[in-house]
Amino acid sequence: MKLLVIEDEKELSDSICTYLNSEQFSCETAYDFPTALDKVVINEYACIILDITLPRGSGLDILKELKAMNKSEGVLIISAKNSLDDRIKGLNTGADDYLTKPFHLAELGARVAAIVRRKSFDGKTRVAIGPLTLDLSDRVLKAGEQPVALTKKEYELLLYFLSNKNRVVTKEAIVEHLWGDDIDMADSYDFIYSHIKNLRKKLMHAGCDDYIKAVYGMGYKFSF
Amino acid sequence: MKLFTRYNRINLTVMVLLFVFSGICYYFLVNYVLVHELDEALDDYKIRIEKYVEKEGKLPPINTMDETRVAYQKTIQADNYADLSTVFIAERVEKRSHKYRQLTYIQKTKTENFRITIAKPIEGVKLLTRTVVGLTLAMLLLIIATSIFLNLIILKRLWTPFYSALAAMKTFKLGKNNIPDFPATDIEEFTYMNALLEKTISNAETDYQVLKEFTENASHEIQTPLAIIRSKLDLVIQEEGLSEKQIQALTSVYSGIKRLTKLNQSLLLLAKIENQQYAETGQVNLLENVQEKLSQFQEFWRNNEMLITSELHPATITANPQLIDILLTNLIGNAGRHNKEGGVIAIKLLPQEFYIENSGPEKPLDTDRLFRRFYKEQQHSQHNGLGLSIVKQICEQLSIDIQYRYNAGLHRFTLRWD
Repeated sequence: MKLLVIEDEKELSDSICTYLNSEQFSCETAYDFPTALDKVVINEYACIILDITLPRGSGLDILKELKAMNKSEGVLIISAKNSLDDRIKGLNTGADDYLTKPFHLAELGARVAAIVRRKSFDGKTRVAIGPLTLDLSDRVLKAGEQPVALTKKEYELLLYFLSNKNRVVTKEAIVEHLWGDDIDMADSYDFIYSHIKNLRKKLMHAGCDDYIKAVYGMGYKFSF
Repeated sequence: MKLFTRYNRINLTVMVLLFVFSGICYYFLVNYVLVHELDEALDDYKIRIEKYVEKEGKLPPINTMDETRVAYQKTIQADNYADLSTVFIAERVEKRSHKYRQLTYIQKTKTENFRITIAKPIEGVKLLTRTVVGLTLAMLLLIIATSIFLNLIILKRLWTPFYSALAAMKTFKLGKNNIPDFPATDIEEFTYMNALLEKTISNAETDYQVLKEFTENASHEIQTPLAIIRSKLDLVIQEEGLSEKQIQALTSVYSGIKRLTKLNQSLLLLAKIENQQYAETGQVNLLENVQEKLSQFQEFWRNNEMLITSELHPATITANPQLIDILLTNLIGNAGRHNKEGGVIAIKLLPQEFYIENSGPEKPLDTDRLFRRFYKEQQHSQHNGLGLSIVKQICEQLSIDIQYRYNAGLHRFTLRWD
């Protein structure tokens, strides 16, 4: 699946591409408005990552163009502006999600994955995690036909890991994803340990290997 | 002291002094003129006597019915003596002395020399004094009455533009972007003053706007480099085989970036609140908000073994929901963050009051600097010292009264609203 990163900061654009490039996704980039518009008109993308402030134009105009052409690409806005007004404006123009800079790449990965899932399968999809299946429409994890009871946080945590498969995810990023970034408990992230421990226990109990690996001092890596 | 009063005082003092002075002058002048008249009349009398003596060879008979008192007295004096003086002469009938103007001179007849005394009463002077004093007082009263009238009616009307300009200034607050409307006036001084005020205000407003925009723009500009740094870090940690030292360094960089991001977001938030970007209000259910925040935080605090007690009653407030959310996050977050192991947090919500109390350092916070930006109890603190500034700013924006109180190791913030 192709992704398009429309971002004028080359370094940031490179980071995003490096992080998102995987077996599933391949990234294209556009650094200015005309290039971006050309690519959007000609190609089909699974998801477009769009910066609002671009050289020679506004990202919102690209969004309007997309809507005018009745294209169904998912759009994730990344912007330095984080006011509610900007957010509402972006979402009302037809964006699927809005992410404020600076963000964790893992967060971006999760958001992109969510948009792609929604757009590609109308939200009705099942993902296999080893011997288990994650039913995204019913929000349940199943071992065969047997549901594995997960708390809301555990489910979100699993989905987050899944969206950032084979990537090291920091504890900080996990906390921000699950609790929001306005709750600032920078002192310690140890409290998420119990959530991780419980999730790992449940997964292993349901028949998985230990997919969640602690990366010393950094965070966790989910891979299978 | 009001300008009117000051003006009145000076005006009236000068007027009173001037009138008393002119009264005195007037009195002496008229007195002098009258005495001079009398002197002339006495002189006339003397001439008449001299003429009579020349013609008849003897002194004229004394007319006692006349108010002019004449007396002859033989003397051996023969020089050309003449004296004019003011004397008091006892009255035969009334038994009191009257003031007289008296001329004494030596008159020679053929045989003898006589000392002749002619005296005329200075009666008119008494009346004159009364008239002058009376007139002066009357004029004084008139002047006072007139100036009071002038000040009350005319001056007040004249000063109206000044007072309306003052009233307009009173409603002005920097940053609200409402330049006061000064009423037009045809008085040159006031027009000049109003023009000057308007110019100063709009300049200040522009400067303030520029400053605010600068803060907001600077904060926005900082977001992008921060995003680049963070994204590169996120990539670096994907590398296999990082050494322990590298990981430690990376962790420090992460936490530095996080602090910088928080700081930047807080400054931006302050600028936005000042910019009235959270002006929209609605009914906010405080009970729900507080309960939700508490349950969120309790999850964080599970390991801290703090005793949290809350007494929550239904309460609502008309405010911006986002601001209330930030306010509660900051207050409740602070109560946990600055607490001690095994400490307590007490929260109470009433229909028009909310307080949060927590144990913490065994001394009160510096109330003068508490709400200032970058106020920290400890310099090396991980926190940016903007939390309470934001709380204060939000309270001001929402017209909430906030009080801090310290009592026996407990720090309490109380919010009250209408």
